Amino acid sequence: MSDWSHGYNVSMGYSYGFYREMAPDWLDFCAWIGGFEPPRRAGRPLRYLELGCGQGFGLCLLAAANSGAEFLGVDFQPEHIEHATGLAEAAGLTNVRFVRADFLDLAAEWPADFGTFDYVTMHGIISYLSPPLISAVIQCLSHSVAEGGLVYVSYNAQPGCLSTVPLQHIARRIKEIENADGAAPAEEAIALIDGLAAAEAPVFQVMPALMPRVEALKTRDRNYLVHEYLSENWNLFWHSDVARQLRAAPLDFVGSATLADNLVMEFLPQPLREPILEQPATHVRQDLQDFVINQAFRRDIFCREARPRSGGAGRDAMPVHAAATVLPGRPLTFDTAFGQIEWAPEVFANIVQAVSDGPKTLGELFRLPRATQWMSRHVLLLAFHANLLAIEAASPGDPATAQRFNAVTARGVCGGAPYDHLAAARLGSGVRATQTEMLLLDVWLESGGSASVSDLADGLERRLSKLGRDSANAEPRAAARTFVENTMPLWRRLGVIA
Amino acid sequence: MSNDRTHGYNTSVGYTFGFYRELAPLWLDLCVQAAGFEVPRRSGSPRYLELGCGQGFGLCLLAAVNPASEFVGIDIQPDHIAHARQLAASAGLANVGFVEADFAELAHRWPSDFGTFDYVTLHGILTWVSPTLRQAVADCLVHATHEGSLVYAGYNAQPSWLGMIPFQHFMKLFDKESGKPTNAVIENTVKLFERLRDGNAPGFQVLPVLNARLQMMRSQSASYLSHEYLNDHWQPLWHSEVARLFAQAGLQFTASATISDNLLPATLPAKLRSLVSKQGDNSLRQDVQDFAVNQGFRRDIFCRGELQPLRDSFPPDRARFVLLSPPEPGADLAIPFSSQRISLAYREFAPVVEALAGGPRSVAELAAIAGLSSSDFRRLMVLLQQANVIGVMADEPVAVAPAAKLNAAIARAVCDRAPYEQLAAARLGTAIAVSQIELMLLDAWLNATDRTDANAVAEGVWERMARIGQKLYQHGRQVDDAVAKRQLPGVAATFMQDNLARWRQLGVVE
Repeated sequence: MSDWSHGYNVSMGYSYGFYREMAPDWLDFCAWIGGFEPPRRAGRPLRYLELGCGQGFGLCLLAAANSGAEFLGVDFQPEHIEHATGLAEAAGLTNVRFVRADFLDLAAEWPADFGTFDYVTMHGIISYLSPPLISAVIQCLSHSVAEGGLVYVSYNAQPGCLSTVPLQHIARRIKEIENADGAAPAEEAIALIDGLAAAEAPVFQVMPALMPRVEALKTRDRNYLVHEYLSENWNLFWHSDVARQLRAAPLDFVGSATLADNLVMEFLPQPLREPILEQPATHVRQDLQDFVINQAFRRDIFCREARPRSGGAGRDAMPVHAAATVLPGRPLTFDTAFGQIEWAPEVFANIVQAVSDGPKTLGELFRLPRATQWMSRHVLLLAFHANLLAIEAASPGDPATAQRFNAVTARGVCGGAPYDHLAAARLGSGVRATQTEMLLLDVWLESGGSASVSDLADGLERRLSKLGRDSANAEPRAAARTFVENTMPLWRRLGVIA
Repeated sequence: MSNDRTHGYNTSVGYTFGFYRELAPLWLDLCVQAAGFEVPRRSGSPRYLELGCGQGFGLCLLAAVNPASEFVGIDIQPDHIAHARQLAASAGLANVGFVEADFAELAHRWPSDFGTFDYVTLHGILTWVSPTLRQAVADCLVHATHEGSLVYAGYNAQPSWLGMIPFQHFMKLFDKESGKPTNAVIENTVKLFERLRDGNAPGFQVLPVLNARLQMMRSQSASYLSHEYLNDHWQPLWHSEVARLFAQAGLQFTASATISDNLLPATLPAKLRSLVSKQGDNSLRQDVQDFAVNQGFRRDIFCRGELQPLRDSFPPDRARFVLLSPPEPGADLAIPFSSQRISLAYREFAPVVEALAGGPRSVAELAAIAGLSSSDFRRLMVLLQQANVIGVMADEPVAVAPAAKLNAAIARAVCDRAPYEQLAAARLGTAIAVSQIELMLLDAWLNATDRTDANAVAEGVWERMARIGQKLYQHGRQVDDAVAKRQLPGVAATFMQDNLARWRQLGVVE
């Protein structure tokens, strides 16, 4: 095992995250919910490009979980590419490649060996790019998207982010005045706004959304603050702004990768639904919907030459897995654009039960008897949104490849890396894993799969203490038992471990 | 709706015929003093430039009350310039000129005969133009100012206007895409937002400002709304953004023309005040203050070069004040102050107001009557001016003739349906708000063969009202024609006895 993870540098910055919304099968599913035919073609491996791939963790995870597909990550920062390439090498991934490139150069001349892609994704980057670079990105899209290809673009949205404008402005001003690096200006701005709130400044009465956002920021890491609030460009787009620009690529909007956002119209009360439905243009409806729900972050899916879905039954046979182990008898609370939803256990118990020992098809789950007033369609779709259910990949990857990547990831966490997802070959995507689970995975893999519960507990304790964590309250034995009894069987089914 | 010539500036509906007291030279000087600075020394007769003068009504009023100064108004819309020239000509104003020009071209090639100005004002336009054109304005200021020039910029401020971004977005979207005429776009957007509000859309809960402003829209004109919201560019600005732009022309922020804002941050609660005051950077301090009070509109005064600190106290001893709008006896005043209201108890201001009821008084007299500390007296005088209860008088000698002549032209035009609502007041160096019926009374009185005959004046007003279908209103209610005709002689008599006497004192009529 390589020691690249020890080079983990917290000052290096952005994006060690994985977002399930960027997985090819998830994008297909959301486009399908949006009323469009997924572009997947049989007979050749799919090709996937990420523009602005950051540290490349997410793309490596996707490559590990989709061993039959081909991935390319592009980023401007050499240290990002270095990290990403190192990770791919350490995990023995042969189906992903990282290239340092400038969007302006790529826009001017698209490298012939890049070719075109079935999926092109950009996470957040257009929120931080200058107008000329955004134009270059659009140009890159027009070069790179294959016919029928899907484009994922996520960004800070109007109007939900408006209330953070003062925070961003003050943080930027402090940065300019003090000529300071790092997160200090953002932290100073947060402290100042805190002070103004404590002094009961009148502004908080007219910006009720500001303080909750400031409070939430206090728990975010410093890199996020630097990236989000101290970047030179900070764009807040309406959907229609983005849609207008992408039309030049040419690309059409097909749905949201935030699954529940596709259901907003079904959940809005009549007086709010009506004025939105009266608008003839899709982009105006999307903007109005965002105003109504106070949208703050969008994950849009666009398609080149989108084909509307014909017929209804196309996805009946899709296998669906449990995405996580769920303790029975507990209610479930999750956020959607149309408010926080609280489900009593009986709303979703039969679905969880059905997938508890293996996948069921979407059709089977849809036909389960209704337990409450909730419509089956809504329960099912929201169960995906709430991460109870996961989609099986149309072409599942090789679990051995995923496990190799996961071993590197778990070892990285032992060295302090903040990874929180593992590759799941069966899903062609990732699953969330806690730090404890990561450490236990590392123990288990190190033992060659022979560790007992008490070996696992001992190994966990050693790793926690190496990380400087107090394991006294962690109950390593209980954690190890849960890991063996619940987590490992699920991970085996999902192709996290071979 | 937009084209290249206008840089995306919406020109489909003419702009309002407003007058803003904050643009008057005398007021700007006063605010500089209120902020603690000496007025810059000027040589020769003062020169004044308005960038984006609109219909030119405000500039004509200022020219009439400052006959010794020279005024230039620039606007990109030919119909604005034509209106402004016609109004100036009808009043025989020789000290004001209007030029149709584009800021981008002026920035590039400043006409040598324009010279430089002691005052340059821009009201609103920074909000409504592209970043490129904002830069052009800054370039124009480099050409147009000299050491000691004062520059006024009024603009929609952050953070209060953030709440209107959604409304502006949709109105512009509908304007571009619906193919409907401007008035229909305005009506549809307002209606749509009213429906969403009535449906309790969460968007309204997080942006209460939107709700408050939506309430106001029903009483706002289409010409205001289209100019506010239908430009390609619409950007509420932070003070620091404007300060940085103007610094290129060597301009420094000096004072606020919202006179009461010069009392900030001292009037804030202690904790808030200390957080604002401890910001070392001037423009950051303004931004933090604006954020704290939820600033909605800034009227910044910048000065080219350094100003001397005020030697005198404020208001200066030699200033004379006059009562403009006496408050209800015994009632406290609630004065709009940033996003809040500041309340002034009747007993605090009664001595000053009662003294002024007997006629103009000097500051020295008022200070003695008020019996306050100098800082409390400054605060009182600033707040009473902010509330338009009192006004400062122009230095003697004052020539009233040009104002009287313009006012005659205004009154005449209103009898032909012009939408003017102000008259020049030479002794105040500014204009005062008047009602349409007062303007018709003025026209009838000026043209009466016997100016002492109230019945003849009433007869003249009646004819004018009938010609344009104007009704008489009392206490906000329309009065029946027959009743109106009976009441007009009494109305005319009151006008001749009270209004004219007051107007003479203020230099509205000779």
